[in-house]
Formats: sequence, structure tokens, C-alpha cells
Amino acid sequence: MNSDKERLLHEIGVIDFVVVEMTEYLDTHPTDKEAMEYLNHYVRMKNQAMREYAMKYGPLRISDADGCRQNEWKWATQPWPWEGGC
Amino acid sequence: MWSYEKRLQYPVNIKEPNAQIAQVIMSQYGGPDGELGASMRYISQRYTMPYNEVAAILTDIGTEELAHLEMVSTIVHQLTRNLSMEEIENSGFANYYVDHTVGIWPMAAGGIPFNSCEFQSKGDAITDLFEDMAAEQKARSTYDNILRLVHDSDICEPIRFLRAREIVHFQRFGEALRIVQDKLDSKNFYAFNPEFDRCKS
Amino acid sequence: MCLSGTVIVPYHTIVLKNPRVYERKTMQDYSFNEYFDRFPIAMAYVPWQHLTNIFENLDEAYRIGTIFPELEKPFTGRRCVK
Repeated sequence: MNSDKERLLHEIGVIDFVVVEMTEYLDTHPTDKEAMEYLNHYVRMKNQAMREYAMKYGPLRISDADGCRQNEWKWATQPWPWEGGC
Repeated sequence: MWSYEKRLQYPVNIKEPNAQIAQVIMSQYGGPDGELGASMRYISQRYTMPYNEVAAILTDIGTEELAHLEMVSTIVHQLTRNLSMEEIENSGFANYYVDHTVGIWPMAAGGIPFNSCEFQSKGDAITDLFEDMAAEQKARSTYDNILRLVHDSDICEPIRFLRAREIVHFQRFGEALRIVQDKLDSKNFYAFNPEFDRCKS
Repeated sequence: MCLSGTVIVPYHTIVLKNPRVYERKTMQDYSFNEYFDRFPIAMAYVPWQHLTNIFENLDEAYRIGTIFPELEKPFTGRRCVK
């Protein structure tokens, strides 16, 4: 049980959820500038959180695979989300 | 094209196996109003949609539905991965088990395998958006039915999340329809099919 | 809320100071004649969502399944048979 890892994964879940919600809102409200600023803020936070997670625990995206110190290809060898825990 | 993130959109951690509930929840994977059908419906409809905002919402919701089918499959997997032979025999799961063991295979709870007849892509902007709005309501109703049947909070929590998403998607498709309506002549919305009768300018 | 590293900085202090209507009018704002001109029969219309509110507690919004309070419509049904 690693509580920092779980906390970070939870925050990525929340941040990405905000990005998805606001993306879908913007698709039908493409001129809403306040919404775009809101989205940009959370997109930046998501990238930061994903890079931090990758550096500490392994990549959640292939595009973050270069951010990990790895002796093995963690993308494949670490557990998969349906096993529980993420 | 698509990229994948190695996490679920919303966590699924189920402690108690339950083959009966798994068979019911399977409908939201491969059933007539399930997430796989939803994803294929929206992703298929987007190619001929002549309005960019509508193609965007079809793409983005279609993509989110892929994340949902992953959650539903995960629920079914966690409910069935540790079943004993006695549980398989006594829960009515034997028919599925004989063909799939505890593998995951998209089908409806009633037995019909997933197929394209579970969705329509009519190639008409107004028709397809009504199809999409109906699809979201059908999915919501299915989740309502599941919530009446299931009392394990490990299962109810991700199911409630998925149900809430259907309502938001309904609103977005309704707004997409308003966008289409604004681009057509309100004296007669049905004078022509904007996907077929006119070129995208 | 967080340890060192990623911090969810709430954005609500920056936006939504002046909640305003995204689209000009809703159906209810129209007089009888305007209503029929603007929204003819033989069609269905979904009202526009306006960006007025976002849940301040985003953990709670995540659990609920939407960041918009107006779109939170929980299920409370149960079967009753006489």
C-alpha cells in the first residue's frame, strides 16, 4: 500500500475528469472563453501530474515512458488497471 | 487516432465475486444499450457529419465510451475471476462459462451477441442526433435497472458514475442538435439532408 | 489537500465572477408569437446549458459524475408493488 501513489492516481483521475467534462462542454460551446481558461488550467495540471506519476511510479501513457528511470519496460510489466487499484 | 492511458476513468475495486450480477452488468458492455454500442455509434456517425462542432462531440463522447466499456468489462471481470466451480454451477453462469470460461465476451444479458444492429448510423444529421439522445436515455434506464438490483456499494459506486455520464451526454447531444437546427431553415428542417444533399463549404 | 508535488489548485476563484447567459434566450423567455417562430413544431429542442456553476469540491464532483451541479440528477427510485 503506497498512499502517495494512490493519492496521485486519485488526483489524476479527478483532474482528467474535469478536462473531459470541460472538453465536451467546449465542443458545443466553442466560443466560451471562461471555459477555455478553466480547461487550460486543468490540462496543464494534468500534464504535470502525469509526468510526476511516471517519474515516481511508472508511465500511465507511452508518451511519459521517457520520464521514468527504468531497467525494464514498465508499461508492459506493471499491473493493468482492471486488476484493481486504479 | 487513439492513445491509451493505463488507468480506469473511475476506480473499480470489487471484493465479492457474484456471477449473477456479472451476467446482468454484461449488458452494459455488449448489450443493445451498452457502452460498446454507444462508442461504435458515435464514432461511426462522425465521418459524414458536416459540422465540425458536432463531429467533435461525437469523437469525444465516442472516446469516453471506450473508457466506459473498459470499466464495465472490469466490473464483470472482478465479479467472475475468482468464481469456484460450485458458484458457476449454481448461479446460471454455466452457459456462458462453457463457451468463454471466465473470459470477457461482449453480449447482452439476454444472450444476443454484440452486433451492429444494436446501433444505427443513418447518415442524416438530425436523425443521428436523435438516435444518440435516445441511446443515452436507454443507457441511463439500464443503469437505473441495475441500481435496483445491486446493493454492493463496490459495484454501485462506479455504476452511479457511469449513469451520471449518460445524462451529461444527453445534454451535449441535445446541444449538438441545436447547432444543427441553427444551420438549417427553421421553416422546414427536413427540406434536405445536410450530410448528403449539399457539399460541406 | 496534497503533499509535495502536484497540487490541485482550484480554478473557481478565477472564473465565473460574472455568470452570464451563453445563448441569447431560452424558450421560456419568448412571448407566445416569438416562441412559435423560434421553435416550430415537428421538432424537439434541448435547452442550452449556461456556464453558471461548477462544484467547488472536485473530489465530490468526480464521485457524483459531473462538475456541473445542474446536471446532477441522481436515481432514487425503488419498486413498490401493492
